[in-house]
Amino acid sequence: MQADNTTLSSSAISSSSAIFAANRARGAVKFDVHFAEGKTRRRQLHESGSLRVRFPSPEDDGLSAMFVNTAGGAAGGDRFDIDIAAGEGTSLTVTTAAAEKVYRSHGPAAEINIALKAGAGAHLSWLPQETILFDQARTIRRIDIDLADRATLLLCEIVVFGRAAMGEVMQTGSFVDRWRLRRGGRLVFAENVRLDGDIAAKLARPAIGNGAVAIGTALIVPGDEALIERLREATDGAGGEVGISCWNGFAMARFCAQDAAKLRADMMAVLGRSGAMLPRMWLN
Amino acid sequence: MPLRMSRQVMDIMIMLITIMDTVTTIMGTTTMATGMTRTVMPVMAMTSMSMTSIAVTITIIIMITTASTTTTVILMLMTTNKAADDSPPNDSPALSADEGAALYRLMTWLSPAFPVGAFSYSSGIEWAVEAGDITDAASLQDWLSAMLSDGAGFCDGVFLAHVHRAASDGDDKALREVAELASAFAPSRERQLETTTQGKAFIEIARNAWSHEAMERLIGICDSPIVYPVAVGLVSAAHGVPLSATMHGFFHAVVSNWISAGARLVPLGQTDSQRVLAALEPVVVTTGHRAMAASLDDLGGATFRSDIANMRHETQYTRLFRS
Repeated sequence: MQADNTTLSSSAISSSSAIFAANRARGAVKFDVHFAEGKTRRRQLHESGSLRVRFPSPEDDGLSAMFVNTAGGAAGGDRFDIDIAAGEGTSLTVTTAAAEKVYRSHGPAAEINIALKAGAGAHLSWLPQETILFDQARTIRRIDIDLADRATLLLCEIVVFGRAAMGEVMQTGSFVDRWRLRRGGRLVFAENVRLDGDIAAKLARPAIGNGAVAIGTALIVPGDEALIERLREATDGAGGEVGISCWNGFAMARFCAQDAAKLRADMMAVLGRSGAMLPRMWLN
Repeated sequence: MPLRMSRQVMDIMIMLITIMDTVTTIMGTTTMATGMTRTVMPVMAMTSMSMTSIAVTITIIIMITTASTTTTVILMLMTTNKAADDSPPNDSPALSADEGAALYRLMTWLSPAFPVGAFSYSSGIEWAVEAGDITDAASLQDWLSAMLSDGAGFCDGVFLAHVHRAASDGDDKALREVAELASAFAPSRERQLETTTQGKAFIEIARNAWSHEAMERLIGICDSPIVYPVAVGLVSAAHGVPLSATMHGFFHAVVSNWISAGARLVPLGQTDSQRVLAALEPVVVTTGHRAMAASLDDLGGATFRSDIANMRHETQYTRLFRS
């Protein structure tokens, strides 16, 4: 088919792009949990397309949810929407069954939209496994977090540039990641990560990655000086680089490493020090 | 009516700001020596400024007044000889009153002598020097180039542009939203402190010394802390100073301050500092153009290790800077 590309008529191009569009994966999951009879219980759940969520086992100290992407990853043009609301007084931990892979794209980006809400007194942990970007992958992700004043949050995200275990380096592509954290309606943290074009060359620069293959970020709400002092103790034997800070009532840890496995270990050490229970999937 | 500024005026402005910057660096070094445990920047004579071919020589007297000192420095402003017949001085048109006012104000607001306290912040450069990431002029230049094109520089430029446009167009909702987004757009506590305190100081001084009716209204619209690029965009828009000139002046102020911090920490001599400033000129021009054309969706950076440097600086044992 590639050999014929030069002779394709415009109608053939439009029909091939229609076929392309029709073959894109769409996945959406929306659910909310509430506190009833002393436990966090699932309320409404909507699943569509290739995205599914499972609630492995009921636990006394909260509910666990695990995402499964039956499409086996995200390709250019795919779109996934996740919308989770943790009602007042609930405790919810969300993770993924496997690392999310974003495959090489010839043009369109894979789009991932995540909206997380937590009500008063609720605790939400968003602890997915790594997102692995293949060489020439294009990704646009958005994470919107909306916390009530007395809600608590533990969130981490790890992005690996290229299939590091296979020795693949992400040479080019695009990664755009927009995070917005609101607390009591007020925007307390906003960040856009944007890495595109010659990604390997950019990651090689000392102010960007110094040859890093993985980055990670953790947000903890509430976060204060006492908390980050504890978290910093966990970074003494770090295999990669870790920075920890707190402001506007939350704490942030940022990770950067030339080895994806080391970054994951550093992340686990810091999260562990926060007093969080990591999902079992993380411990495998 | 907005003030206009020609390309030639911009060129001269950038040279003037550079020279004022050098003067203030010398003053700043003297001031720092009294309060700091180590001073690494040698005070160098103005004659060390290396200029190649000299076409025009203008003598300018610049008065710099601070709370404690008044220094009069006689400087030789030299323009490089681009072409023998390029704009001889007698044919140079005079600035209009508006142009003159815009130039005067921008040079004041974006001069290191404007007391927003910029000299006390290093944007994480102090840690990068401590960690060995910045060791000389070349590594400083690469680090700053990334901060400009893929970090805080570009993002602050986008905020400045959007604030300036919203304020000039009377779009109060857009102004409030950009101001809020900019106030939350920090990667660490010290970066937040740096941009918030400078923004607050900039607004306070502008209110007291450069007051303008339009400015008070615009300040009232913002219901989040006014960070530095927002303050510069807001005040310049209120005064009718054009966006493009403000943008380039702003980048010059930011880059000069980074270099000044790097020069004190590495340490680098005056000439090396000027070489870094000169080498970053094309990056500043390109980043300025990108920031002018960018939507808020285009915002973004990737200076992860610069972010980590900002965070690690919080626990650095010996510190000259607040960030």
